[in-house]
Amino acid sequence: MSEKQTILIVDDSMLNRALLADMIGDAYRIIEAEDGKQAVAALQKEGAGISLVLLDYVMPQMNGFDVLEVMNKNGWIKDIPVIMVSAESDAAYIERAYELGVTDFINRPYDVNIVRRRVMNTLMLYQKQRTLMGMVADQVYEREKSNNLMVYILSHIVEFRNGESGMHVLNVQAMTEMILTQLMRLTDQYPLTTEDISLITMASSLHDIGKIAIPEEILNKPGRFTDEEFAIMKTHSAVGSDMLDDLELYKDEKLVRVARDICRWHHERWDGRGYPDGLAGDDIPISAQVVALADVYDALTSRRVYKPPFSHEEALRMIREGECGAFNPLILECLEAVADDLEKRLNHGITGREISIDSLHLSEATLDNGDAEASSRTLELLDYERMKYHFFASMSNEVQFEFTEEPPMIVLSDWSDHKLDLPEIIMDPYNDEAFCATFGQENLQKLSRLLRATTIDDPVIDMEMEATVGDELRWFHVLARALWSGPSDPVYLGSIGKLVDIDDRQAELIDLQFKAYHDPLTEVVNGAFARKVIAERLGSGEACDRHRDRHVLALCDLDFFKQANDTYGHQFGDRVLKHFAERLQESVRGEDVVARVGGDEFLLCMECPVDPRPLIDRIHRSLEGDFEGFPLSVSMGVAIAGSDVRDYDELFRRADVALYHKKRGGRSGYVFYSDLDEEERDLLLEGAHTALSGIDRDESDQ
Amino acid sequence: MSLEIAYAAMGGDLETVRGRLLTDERIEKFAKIFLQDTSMQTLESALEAGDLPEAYRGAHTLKGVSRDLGFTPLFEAAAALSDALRLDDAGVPANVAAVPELMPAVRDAYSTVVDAIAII
Repeated sequence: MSEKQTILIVDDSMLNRALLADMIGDAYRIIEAEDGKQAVAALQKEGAGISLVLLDYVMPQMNGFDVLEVMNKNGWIKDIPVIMVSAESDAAYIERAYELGVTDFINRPYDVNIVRRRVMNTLMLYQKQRTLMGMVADQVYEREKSNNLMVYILSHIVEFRNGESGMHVLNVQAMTEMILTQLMRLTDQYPLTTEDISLITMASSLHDIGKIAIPEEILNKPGRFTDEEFAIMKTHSAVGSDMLDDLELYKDEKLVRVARDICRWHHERWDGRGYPDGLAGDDIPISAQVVALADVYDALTSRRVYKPPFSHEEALRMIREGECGAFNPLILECLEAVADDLEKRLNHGITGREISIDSLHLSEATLDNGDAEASSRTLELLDYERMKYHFFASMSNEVQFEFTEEPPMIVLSDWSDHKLDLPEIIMDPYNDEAFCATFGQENLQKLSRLLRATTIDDPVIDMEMEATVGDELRWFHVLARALWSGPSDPVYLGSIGKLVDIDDRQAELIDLQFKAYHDPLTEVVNGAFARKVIAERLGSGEACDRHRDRHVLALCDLDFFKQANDTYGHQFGDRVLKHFAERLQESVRGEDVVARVGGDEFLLCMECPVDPRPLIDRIHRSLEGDFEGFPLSVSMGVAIAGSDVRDYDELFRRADVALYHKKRGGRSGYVFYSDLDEEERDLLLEGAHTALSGIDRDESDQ
Repeated sequence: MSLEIAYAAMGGDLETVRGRLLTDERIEKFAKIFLQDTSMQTLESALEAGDLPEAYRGAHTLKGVSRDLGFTPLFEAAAALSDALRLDDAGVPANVAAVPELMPAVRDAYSTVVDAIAII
């Protein structure tokens, strides 16, 4: 971020403000307010331009809580996190502060490291949360009266430490809700209301909070645990429930009680072989049973430091066959029932939007205020747009993508899922093996370069590149638009775009080009193409060194070809021509030009050595011989392009004249135009009797 | 070195402050800024005027900053005073009677700190 985030420091003591500003450092823009009134004025003026408020409590005029109340009244508290800076440690005071929506506390006396860490964490949490919750963050917040936000932040802290993706909690939530809803349809064995499901879903986020107490080295260890490490790891379930039991203020809240059950028992097993209490069967609360399954499924299908992700099918199989624990058969039945839906939802729920939308439907009944309706409409519109987008994406033969720079992540449309055999969401794509293997490092770097070179006014680029689909390389056209932050000091945020498979079109084009330039029978190039290539080589501009750069052009005519046709039929004639074309190609180098310019006339063009005669002689000898009893006798007319002639047509005419003289003077052999005298050259100036105008057909090839 | 002497002179806890504020430059800088802090004056004039909420605010601030900077004796004196002046929900101080006997300790500690900072 090139633009500094703004922090508002509200404290009546100048020394306090200066000290806080000094400790936070230069990485942020600091504005100060001496009392509550100034703070409200600053918030009014800067709005969400303020990323964080550090708020003192004891102040003249308006104290810290008064400021918080104004922030609540104006809805600012939803967008702007507040950290209370205070020496107060009274429980009622802290409870009131949380009720008013503060995110965190910094206690006096100040510690530089703690201040910095709190500030950074809060900013990071809000940023991450904004990205993830997107447009519906406010809605979720309203609905759950701030509980959900706090739960979310809390569970996120655990995830940050775990190195898990931000998706884990959302996935567990979504899956918990789906399975419980299915369970309610299936049986009335468990007394569950929609409200219970909503509550369990929310509480499921907290299942791993006990991991806070697990040392980082163990938590993020890439390899296998030792017995001792595993024993420590296992304590997280009991620690989590103890933490909730120890809550002074809210421990009797329903949410806390449900969360406590989930924390404690989400590693119990149906067969009684789990931990920490070895409960079996329905002694384990249904909430913990379902979360346990969701946790296992998401762990299996996610990448972790110690393992690659398993596919949806593989994960289901492993769970079904009891490789990853023992579960209530009823819940397994529910899992099977929602399996298809599950894969779709978890894969699509990247922003968490759909999850929120669905849980919102569930609790719509409990919504009673009018302003929620407007937001629901917004959500419906959003839902509709997403459906539309998915529909068109699935209809088109193209891969659509969204790339974000921070965190580095690419989301591919579902068509690509099946076609490219890539997961829909790829974290850190530039370092992802499968992703790079499909598109190629070089292509990706080029694409990235092009996108970064765009501007706000002209953000669209296109390029063509090959990508590996299955086992074959296919051509894709990439059309992408760079996403830049605001107009002043724009920062590259990522890109959106699509890849269109143009391989068939490309192949058709190449095929057409080939056909346009090649003789269909012999597959050597045709006269038109030879003319184009040779004219280019002869050059017309000054760049070409006319003295050193010499070319020799030879026209080759198959003597007595008409006889072959007449005697053995056209099919045989065609085979003779094919064979002759092959001999021609074998007799010259790859970069030399071999073309069919008439019925049985071929053209050769190559760079000219100082003395071209040995070369022409060698070629002539290699062309002559016999094809299935038909004698191959060849007449050649040769012209040299040097300083005196650079024009293709003139060169061709000269070779043609030379060939005419060769034919007239007896066949088999070659004549150089340069060896003809004035009279011989002039005789044919009008061109009426040249070899290619049909000497064979007119007279001699009998 | 002068920082050590100054803290020794006022009975402050330099080591703890170093642990929290990390650099001597920062401690020196804010020790000097403390001389411009007006909370002691706020406290004195508010007491004189009988403005108890304002007096509480002064004592509270003094308590906070002296704690941040490790001026231990001043912090303890200011904390005791701040507790005595703390207002309940009705806006009445907890123990206004104790204020006259707590004030001298605050004044003493304050002037010791001010004198000690002067040698930095």
